[in-house]
Amino acid sequence: MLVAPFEAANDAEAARAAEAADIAGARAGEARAFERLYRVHVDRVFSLCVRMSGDRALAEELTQDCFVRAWERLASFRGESAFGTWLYRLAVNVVLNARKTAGRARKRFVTEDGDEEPSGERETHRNPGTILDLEAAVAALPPGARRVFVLHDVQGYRHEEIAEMLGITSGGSKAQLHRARLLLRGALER
Amino acid sequence: MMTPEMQCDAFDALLPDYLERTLDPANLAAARLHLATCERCAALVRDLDDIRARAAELPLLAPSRDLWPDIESRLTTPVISLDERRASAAVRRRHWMVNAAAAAVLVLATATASVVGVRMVDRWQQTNQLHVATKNTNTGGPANPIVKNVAAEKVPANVTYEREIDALRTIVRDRRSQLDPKTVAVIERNLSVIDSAIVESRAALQKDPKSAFLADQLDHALDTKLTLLRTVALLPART
Repeated sequence: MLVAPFEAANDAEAARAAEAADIAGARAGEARAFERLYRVHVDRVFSLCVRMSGDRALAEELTQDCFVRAWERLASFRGESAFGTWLYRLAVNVVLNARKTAGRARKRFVTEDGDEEPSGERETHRNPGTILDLEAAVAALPPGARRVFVLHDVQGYRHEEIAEMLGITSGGSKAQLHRARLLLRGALER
Repeated sequence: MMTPEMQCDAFDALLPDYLERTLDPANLAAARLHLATCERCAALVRDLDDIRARAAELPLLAPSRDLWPDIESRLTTPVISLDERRASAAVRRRHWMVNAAAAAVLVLATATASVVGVRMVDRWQQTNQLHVATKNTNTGGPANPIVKNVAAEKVPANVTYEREIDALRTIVRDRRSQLDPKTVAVIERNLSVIDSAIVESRAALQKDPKSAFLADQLDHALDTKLTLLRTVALLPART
């Protein structure tokens, strides 16, 4: 169904106004207003968490953590960026912090190039039969390369932003991205 | 594969920047020339561009269930700052220590009461049986098979002691004429000393009712008196 440009613009404006009202309500402590924000953004937050962590069950926990953190920090949202932008950046931090916490608690495997790699994912690399599509291939990437690939090619962050988030250099981010793309090509060719 | 202008490994080194469109004009021109003549590198670029395009179009994923109920329950849980948490933990630790100390005192008191109670019950049963046996010996009749278990009636300890002491005193008084006067004199002096100890212990215990030591001292004095009276009750008649 075709929608006239001005109607689409009006819809977008109405959506922004509704979201602004919900943000104000949530900041005032209204759980129902925050629930509406959750409904709008949950799939994108969850998608980010799944692709960053490579684990759907963990991603559901991380998604909950993200929204709880957002509720607690709503006062710090000043509206300088879109609420979604603020929320997804918060989700990235939640995933990265969870990775650090988990990394301290469990034994990690280290690949030859120094990239940490959980045992389950290592097994996936050795079994090309399990790589069915791009989503599965992304999940099978080494964590360092996967995070950069998701943040850059899926989420659309710039290398400078990724470098700041991950605590690496911009050049390191570019190198990881290229490595990820080459690994994906190899996986998808099989 | 080689071209007159650039080798594949040289192109590979430029590839990340080529894909990011950050190559300087000279390298960009050289890379384009190489791609025009090298199918291997051209295919590589096509594949990587395709991956990037497909990644940007990956569909959104949805959780397997509605996460809101769990999130909402966490929102209603009050957030406690670390400082408040530490303070309340310290209060909880203090309360725990007080409770632990109170519990320790309670356990000690209960154990003491239990030990004293068991000892008193034992003593009571022994003296009760002695009482009956003594009466039966005096009357020459058969031992009464029915001995009332007074301890089982949960009689207060002091009442039990007093009752038994009175009973034994009656026996001793009745037997006085059967005993040597010198023996009776020694018995009376000892009983007097023990009674003084009992009076002093009771007076001290009234001032400090919770003192386990004083309670034990009184118990010990009463026990000594009972033992003495039992002994006197069983002394053989003057020979």
